[in-house]
Amino acid sequence: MRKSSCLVAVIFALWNCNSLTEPIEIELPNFEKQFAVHALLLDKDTNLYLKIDETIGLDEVLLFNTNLNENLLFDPLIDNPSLDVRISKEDGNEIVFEYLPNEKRPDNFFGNNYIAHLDKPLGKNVGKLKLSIRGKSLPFAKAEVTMPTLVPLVSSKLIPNIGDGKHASPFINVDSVDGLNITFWDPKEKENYYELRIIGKSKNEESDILNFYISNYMTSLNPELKGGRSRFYISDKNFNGEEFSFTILLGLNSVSSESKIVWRSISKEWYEFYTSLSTNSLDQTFTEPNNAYSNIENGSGVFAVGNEIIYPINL
Amino acid sequence: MTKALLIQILLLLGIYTYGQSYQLDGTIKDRETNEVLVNANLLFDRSAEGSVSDRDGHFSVVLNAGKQKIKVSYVGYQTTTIPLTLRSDTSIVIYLTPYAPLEAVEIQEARQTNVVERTQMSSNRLTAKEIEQIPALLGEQDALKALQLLPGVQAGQEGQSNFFVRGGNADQNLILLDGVPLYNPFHLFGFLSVFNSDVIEEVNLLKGGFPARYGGRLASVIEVNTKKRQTEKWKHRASIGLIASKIATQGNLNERTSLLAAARYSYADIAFAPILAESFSRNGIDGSLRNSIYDLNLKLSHRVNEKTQLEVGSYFGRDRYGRREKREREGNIFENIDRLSWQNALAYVGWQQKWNKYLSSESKLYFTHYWLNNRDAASTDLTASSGVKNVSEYDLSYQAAVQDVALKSDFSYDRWEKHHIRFGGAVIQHFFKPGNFSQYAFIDNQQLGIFFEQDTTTIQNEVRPLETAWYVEDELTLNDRWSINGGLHFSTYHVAGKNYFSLQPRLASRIKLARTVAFKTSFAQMRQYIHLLTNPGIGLPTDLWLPATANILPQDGWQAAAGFAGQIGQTYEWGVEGYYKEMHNVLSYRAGAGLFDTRDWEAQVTQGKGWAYGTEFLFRKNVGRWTGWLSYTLSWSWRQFDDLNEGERFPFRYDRRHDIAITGSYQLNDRMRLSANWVYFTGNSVTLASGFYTTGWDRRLSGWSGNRFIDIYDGKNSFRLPEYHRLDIAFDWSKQKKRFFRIWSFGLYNVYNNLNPFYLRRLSSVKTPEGSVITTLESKVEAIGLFPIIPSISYKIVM
Repeated sequence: MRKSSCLVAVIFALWNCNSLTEPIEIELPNFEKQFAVHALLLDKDTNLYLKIDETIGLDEVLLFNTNLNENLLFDPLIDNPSLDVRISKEDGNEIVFEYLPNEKRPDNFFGNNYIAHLDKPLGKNVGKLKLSIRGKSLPFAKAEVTMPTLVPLVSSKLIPNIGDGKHASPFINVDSVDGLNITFWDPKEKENYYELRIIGKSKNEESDILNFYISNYMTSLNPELKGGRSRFYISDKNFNGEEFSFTILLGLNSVSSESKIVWRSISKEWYEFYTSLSTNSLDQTFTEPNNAYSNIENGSGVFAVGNEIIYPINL
Repeated sequence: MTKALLIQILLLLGIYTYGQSYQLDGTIKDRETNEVLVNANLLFDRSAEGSVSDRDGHFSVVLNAGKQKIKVSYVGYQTTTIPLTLRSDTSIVIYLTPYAPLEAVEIQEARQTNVVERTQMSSNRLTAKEIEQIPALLGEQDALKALQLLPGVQAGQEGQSNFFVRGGNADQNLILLDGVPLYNPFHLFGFLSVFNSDVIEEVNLLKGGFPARYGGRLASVIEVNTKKRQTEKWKHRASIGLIASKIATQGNLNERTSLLAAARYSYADIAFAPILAESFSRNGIDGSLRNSIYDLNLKLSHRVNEKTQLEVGSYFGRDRYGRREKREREGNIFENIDRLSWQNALAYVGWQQKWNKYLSSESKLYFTHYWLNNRDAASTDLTASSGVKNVSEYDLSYQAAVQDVALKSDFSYDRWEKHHIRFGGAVIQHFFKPGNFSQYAFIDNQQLGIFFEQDTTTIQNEVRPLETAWYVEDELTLNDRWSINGGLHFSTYHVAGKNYFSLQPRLASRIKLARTVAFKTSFAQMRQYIHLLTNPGIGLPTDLWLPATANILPQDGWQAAAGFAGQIGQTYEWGVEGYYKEMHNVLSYRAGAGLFDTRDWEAQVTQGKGWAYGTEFLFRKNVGRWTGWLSYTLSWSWRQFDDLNEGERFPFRYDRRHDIAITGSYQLNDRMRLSANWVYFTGNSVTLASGFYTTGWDRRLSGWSGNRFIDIYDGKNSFRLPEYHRLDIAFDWSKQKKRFFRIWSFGLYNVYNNLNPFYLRRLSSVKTPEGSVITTLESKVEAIGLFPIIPSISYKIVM
């Protein structure tokens, strides 16, 4: 019995040697660098901005300028002196971009930017646009988009105190929440995509009104609507060619007389990219990770366009 | 009328009988204990046909009149040949003598394998003795982990009992305890199966060539049968191990009634306590963890008369897990509570009836239930840093359940020498509760002037589908070399106004190429009306069982297989098989959806297809001092969903190119036995980001300011974890004491301490030197292994 007790003690001691559990090294596959593009253009823009960077392998070290939010290992002025960035329009004209040095960037513009100045806005009827990026060390990248047709709102109504207790969110007291009802007619001819924002003014600066997103309400009752907290992305998959009406609940930052609805008809690429981001980097234990959408051939990121119209909110 | 119709059908099949023949009924029993022996093999020399005893040790055949020799064999028993002259319908009892138990030295008699005789292919059987001899993690023998060592069966995560058969999903395995389905056969987050090894008689695995009597799943049928009645003496067992203790008893209450009862209690939390305490203390946490598990088995058998038997059985098992963590930082208090409990319950009433010398039946009315309850709560008290009251609470509860009430009957008809006809049906009422969420949120932040309280419940509607299944099957012996098993399985399913029907043909053939070699082929079409929505990572009890609905289609599949089976001498058997299978309408979470998504479950899922193919090899030695087997599987398994991976095919997570298992046991002397097993397989396929890029833009367009990191994946499940391999050994030391027989068992899991990846984690380190605007970001991916070398010990007594 005494021998047995000793044996049990030894076994427990061995078992509790959790120092034996060291992390296991994983050899990552080779990673091929490509251009990473973030290019969103609006019909009313006269200054067109593109952000062009490179993709980075998971085991690479990234040097970052935190002030400029700029990847220091990708400096096109050094690495790619002949980086050629241009957009070909349907009418045969070309828009040629040039590197925008940091000191010339507007506020809130981050990263390695390229700019093209236009004499007049890009326009609602610009049609098809083809982007091409050529550099010395990275593969030639290109993308193509078509400007969507602008679909205006039929109505937007503010409904005070809409909370009915049904909609769960720890962010919103549903008993005193306001609602905003949006209605529009969706054209039947093709697939259409929309983006909705609500902006307010704070310290003389326009910003998104946050916290008007309620997951249960938006996704169970209106699966067409995707987004999170500051804007919605809408696909006409379930109401093609019909009138569509929905109500959103407004959160703690309630609307003011200076609040506005920013309504955009966006290209499919815009919709796909933003709706794919929510599932991009996630804990794999409980969810399926997903690649962010990209329409850049031989590259990553998005080249997308949209038409914009701004409405006041009538209190 | 019925008889005439049956004869016509048989004539249509081109089959006829000739000569005088008689019915031979029999039961095969253990000579010492009088226990019936299930799946014992019989070989009749004149017809060269074989048969197998059923779940009651019973067999029934029609043979030509005259002299016969019957060769009877069973694993662990001496093969017996019985001469018999058949002049009329006859009933016999055949007693087999067991080899000496564990303490015996000499095991010399070989056994006659039936692998060549049976029409059935793609099947394996493990007896309780074989399962007990396999070294086990923490010394707790596990029937489902033993199955993982067989060809065509892929183990899930290390240490877990879940498994995948021939590239199929976990929900495509029909797991039956005494013929009743169990929805979640796991304890301890999958690290232990619910099957108490003290009550198991045998485990049968069917992974292809399904006879028509089986239905409802695409990939496999696992029959776990508990010990049979009719022991003459009471038998008691008790054992104490590192993570569980068990007691079991079996015996006759009277001449007609027998009882089997067992209980098991696991105290894994106590065993893990030192490790956890150290971990909590290292992280400055006041924490505790509780994990209690128990299960109960009860079976009562009663022989009403020679023709009628009744059986009542039940199983109940429950897991309760609780974790509490409380930490304090600068006066602020953070507290988390996780509670998770789940339970399986099943009960049945069985009725076996012999109607006449040809027709017998077995009917069962059963109830099976699986339920889980999860609660996650968090509270924060930041009053210390705020200076005014600042508290918040969040509490999420989640419940889901699935339940079946069913009646099924199976008939067996043995009128003709060359036919063994079965037919039957089942009516199953399912009840699915796909998941109810309750959320409570409370904020009292006097700093911001916010007071908020909300209590919300989201209820997913209960779904009540009605399923029926009907079949007819004939095991037909065409001649002494060729036998076939053909049949039809028909099922219906009604849910919320929608009806589904399915007619599934089944065909299997065996041709004896020589006395010891057979060529076998099979085709089976299958349908299943239920889905298991699993998390992409580890298998958890929180996986949801969901029904086919008007929007979610049932899973359909078919499988074709061909192979050879043979024996070498009297001691070894071998088999090699190739298969191809397709699975349609398999279910998966949509990208980004997951357990904690409170949307309607139908909105979270997508359906696609899968296909798998491969070759399996098994070489097995069942008798002698050495016993064991070598198995190898070369396989591929693919999935394709329009909504996942951009519509491109991707490997199944448990796609295993190579899977090898060697397991063996050696009887050193009359008191000692040494066992070992070694496994090797290709690493799992996982989704891993290979790179990333940053995107920053003006707030006007992007909806965020500054940079955002976006991961780049080469494709779903495109990254292979390193290959897995492990050696386990066990040593049993037994002795006959005055009143009982005792066994000390010692084990070493992962003897050479090869850490195998359990999960991946990505680590990022961001460094910005003081006064600098330059930041260095370094990322790396590492795998974490949970199972180093682990010793185990258990003490068992048998009376």
